[in-house]
Amino acid sequence: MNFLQSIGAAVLSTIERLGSAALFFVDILGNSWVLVKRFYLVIQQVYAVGVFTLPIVLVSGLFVGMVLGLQGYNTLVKFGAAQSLGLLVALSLLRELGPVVTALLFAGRAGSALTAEIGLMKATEQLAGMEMMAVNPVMRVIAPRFLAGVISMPLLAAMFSAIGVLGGNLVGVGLLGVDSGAFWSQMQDGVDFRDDVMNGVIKSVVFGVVVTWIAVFEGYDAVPNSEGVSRATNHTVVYSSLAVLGLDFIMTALMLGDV
Amino acid sequence: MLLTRVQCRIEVAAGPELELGQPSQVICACALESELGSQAALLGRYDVQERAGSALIIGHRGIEVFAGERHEAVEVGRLRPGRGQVLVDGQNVPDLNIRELYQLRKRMGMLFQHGALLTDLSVFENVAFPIREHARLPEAVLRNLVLMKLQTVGLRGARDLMPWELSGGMARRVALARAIVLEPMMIMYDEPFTGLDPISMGVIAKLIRELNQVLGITSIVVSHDVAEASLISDYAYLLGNGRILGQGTPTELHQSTSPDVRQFMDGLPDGPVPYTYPARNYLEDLFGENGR
Repeated sequence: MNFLQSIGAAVLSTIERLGSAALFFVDILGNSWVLVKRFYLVIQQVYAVGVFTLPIVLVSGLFVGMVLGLQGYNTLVKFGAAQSLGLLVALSLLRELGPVVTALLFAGRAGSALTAEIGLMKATEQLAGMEMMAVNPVMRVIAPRFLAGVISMPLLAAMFSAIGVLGGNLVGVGLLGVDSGAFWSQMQDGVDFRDDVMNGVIKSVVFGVVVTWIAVFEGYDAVPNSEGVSRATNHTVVYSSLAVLGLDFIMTALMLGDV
Repeated sequence: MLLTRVQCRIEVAAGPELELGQPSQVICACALESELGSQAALLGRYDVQERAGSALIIGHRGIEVFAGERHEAVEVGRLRPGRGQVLVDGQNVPDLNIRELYQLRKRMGMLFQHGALLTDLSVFENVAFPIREHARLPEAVLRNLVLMKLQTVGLRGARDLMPWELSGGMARRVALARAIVLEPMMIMYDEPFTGLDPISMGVIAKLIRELNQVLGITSIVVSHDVAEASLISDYAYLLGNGRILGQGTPTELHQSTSPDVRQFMDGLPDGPVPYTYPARNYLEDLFGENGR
């Protein structure tokens, strides 16, 4: 009986938390329009969230592209299709690896930092202090960070894909001797703007919303002490990674379905 | 806990005969009862009516830990009382919607125990923060206003420091400058003396007293420091176990014969607030079935 009760309690608390996360999301959206007049608050956060994530995204993108070049060449050359290397690299990056790997890196680098920052602001009573100064912390602290995440993610994913293509080109053309003209023209020919590029952009926008939402909610909802903040940071990385991978499958299924 | 006042009459309200809307009336909490989970009993009931002036609450850590903060939290609308009214300047705080509540809060200042300065802003920007959020002032006016408030707390020279470069006492003084920058009608202090060296403590006490007199604002201080609090307060309430244990001027409280008040004023380890946490019989516990 105790076992059943504990299952019930766990389910109820999970649902309750999901509900409060949803309400929090609505609260963020409701407070976002105020930032149109004070967009510099969002710009500051784009700098903090986006620019500091850029190095890790660029380095990872370069290596992922280079590995794709090596692996793709090894498989394609068996079928005498090494010319299509450019197409393979570009499609893998634009449709899958760009948005997904960027989102995972973003969760680890920026998401955890957001959670820890907001959690510590809560622990040191900065959020309560703001509320006492009649400043809504959701408007002043949470919404700019949320918008910054949503804006940064597609930009970072685009840069990941771009430098990945360059990495693939470096290995394929520079190292393995694929014809440079074929590499680029096959890519140009085979990549569709709406089906491939836009699908990747849609994915990364969705990931941006989900990862930043989880990060700011975990921070705002954290138990305000060191253990609570550490647990919240941990949750951010785990939950947002799982959410990204799960949503990626669902979105890919939907997008391939109507292509 | 203990609550005191300066220059004002704080009366225990006999009933709901509250003079609403009277300009001098700043705070009036009557028959407050709050449901705060495990702290449910802490707030209990206060039949307290306050008018302009300064009040001081001294609490004691231990069983009623956080009681004072909870009290303030209810007053400013962060928590809702289970029953009763919290009247601030004639408005019942729990009835206010978020916009009215924020309007009211613009006229109130609060000093948090550790200052709650925004760590990513300098001292100057921290003090300027409420103005930047609520008003649109030319930069030159804003600068002078901020420097005047910093001068009041003696930290005009520290304007470019960051919060982590300040000592505990300085951080609290900066937070005080920030609390008065919008010229509030009242300030609430949460444990202003805790964790300070004697010099900083004296400085904070002097500031609280001076601000109270010079700006003519109401001050509510929650504190556990009986000596320091007695020096600056006019009237005190001793709160514990969810009720008012005693009240009066500091002198009256020092002369009180009530065991509740005596235990607090003299800092006795045992008394109406017991030394031991409730437990079963000691011998039974040691030699009972589990002790063998």
